[in-house]
Amino acid sequence: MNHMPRLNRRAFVVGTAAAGAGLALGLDLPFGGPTVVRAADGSPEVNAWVVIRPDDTVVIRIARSEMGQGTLTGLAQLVAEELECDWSKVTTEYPTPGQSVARKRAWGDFSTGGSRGIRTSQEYVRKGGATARMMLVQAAANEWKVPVAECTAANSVITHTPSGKTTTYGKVVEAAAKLEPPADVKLKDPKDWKIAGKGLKRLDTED
Amino acid sequence: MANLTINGKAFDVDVEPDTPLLWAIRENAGLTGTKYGCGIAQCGACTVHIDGVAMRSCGVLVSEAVGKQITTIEGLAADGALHKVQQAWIANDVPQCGYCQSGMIMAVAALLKEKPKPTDADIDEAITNICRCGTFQQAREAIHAAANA
Repeated sequence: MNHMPRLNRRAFVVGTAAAGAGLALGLDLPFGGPTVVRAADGSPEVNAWVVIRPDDTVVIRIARSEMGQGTLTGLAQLVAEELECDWSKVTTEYPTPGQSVARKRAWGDFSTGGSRGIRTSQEYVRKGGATARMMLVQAAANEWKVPVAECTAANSVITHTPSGKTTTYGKVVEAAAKLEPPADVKLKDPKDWKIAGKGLKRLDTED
Repeated sequence: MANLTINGKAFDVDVEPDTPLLWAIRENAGLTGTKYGCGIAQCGACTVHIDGVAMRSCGVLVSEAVGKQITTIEGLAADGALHKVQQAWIANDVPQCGYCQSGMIMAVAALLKEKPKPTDADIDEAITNICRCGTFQQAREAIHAAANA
């Protein structure tokens, strides 16, 4: 009974795939930016690694399996370090392998084993956090109409140093999610780390 | 038929006298917190207290445990409060997969009764439980934390 509708839908999708990109772009033009990817609860993704909710909760995506070895917390620490977010507001979620395929392996390697989880992904998860931070700060600078170099971020708060104005990640995330990711992303020197590499309480165990 | 006292409760277990105590605890008493690891008293996953002494229950016969006070991980907490070793284990995030940990906790609880402030050497000598995940350093920290609690 469902056979025909499914075939029709498939035919429609295949038939319009080529035109799809142009169509999507056309729809987006009035809003002046790329499509914002949203988490299930509607909160915007800054990028594949970082979702920020309006209440400043940070959702960090974890692409390796937690089996008690602590990788989930360790990877979240690496993202949070570069994101300059408030660690007490960090939660995590796992993208599914299906989402990974659908998004052209946006989270890199999904395998877990051989002590490779942190070793082989630490650089790109840090870049994910740093990229998101730069976009959030840029969004605040745009709103204030000030040079981004005059703005700093710490603990999920963005400050315009000359004026002392502040805002939070949750307030600028909608605007940040529409920005192009920066091409040049610098990572912090590990000697300046405050969250990463520290023996923090695990996020996946009960209190 | 043998009568065992586990965590202060009497259990009539219908097993051969030479059945490993571990089997009676898990299969007959239904207390599965005590784990089967190696079956030859080497790994310590099945550690319980028999009259207050840490014993590897896979190597103890049911007939040897009759008339004695057997305490398993389920009976370690008293009056609704976790034992200080259990609390230290949680506070220090010791477990990885967790399989060996109930036996390790039982061994540590017995050690602290005997030596309230064990040195690293005391720990090395007394806590010979095997952890395949390698949580030994976290366990050591938690033992010292429990000793100082």
